[in-house]
Amino acid sequence: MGKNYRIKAARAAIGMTQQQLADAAGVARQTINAVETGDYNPTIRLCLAICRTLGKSLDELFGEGPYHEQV
Amino acid sequence: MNKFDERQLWIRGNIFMRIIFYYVVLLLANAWLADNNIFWAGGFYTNLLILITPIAAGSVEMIWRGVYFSHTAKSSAIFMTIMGIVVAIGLTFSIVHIAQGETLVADSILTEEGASLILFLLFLIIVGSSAAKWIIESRRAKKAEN
Repeated sequence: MGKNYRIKAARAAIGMTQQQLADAAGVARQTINAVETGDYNPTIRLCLAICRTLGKSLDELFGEGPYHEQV
Repeated sequence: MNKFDERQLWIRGNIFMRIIFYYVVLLLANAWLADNNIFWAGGFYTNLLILITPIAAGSVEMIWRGVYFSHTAKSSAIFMTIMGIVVAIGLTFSIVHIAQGETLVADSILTEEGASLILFLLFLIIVGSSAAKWIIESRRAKKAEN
């Protein structure tokens, strides 16, 4: 699994820290960090919570694309 | 309410499995040693050390991977502070007893003093890991705010 730069970019665009996103999504900060660095593959439930918090669609944040590094 | 998130539950499950595996390995190793008339500690302390050692190793891994406490836990600092105080008192007593001439090993077998010193050191590693992780997380949080 590759790094997900889109979550970081979407978060930065609205000035949100990992901790704030984690609190809004109901998970630990380390979990958000692990999703962003590609160390953890989140369930659809967490993906939706992140999308809802950042105001993005699943495809925008987790779909295949140039900002989703593939290993 | 303590509620672990999905990643924490997944990692904790893996670590618990490893703790059980190492516990069984240590039990079998001790059984083999006992079968060959090799004893390394008194009965009670043998069992306690065999149980606590994998738990301590698992606890340290949980702390470093951020899954020892749930993300909603409010009393983690209080819990670790109390544990730290207990460990500090225990270690102080151990050191005083050693200074008074109590031996840690007698006839190649850990004495009560030696075994309890190892137990307190294991707990010290848990508390120390927790403190170090807390400092690192606090610095990260400050960095993120700036």
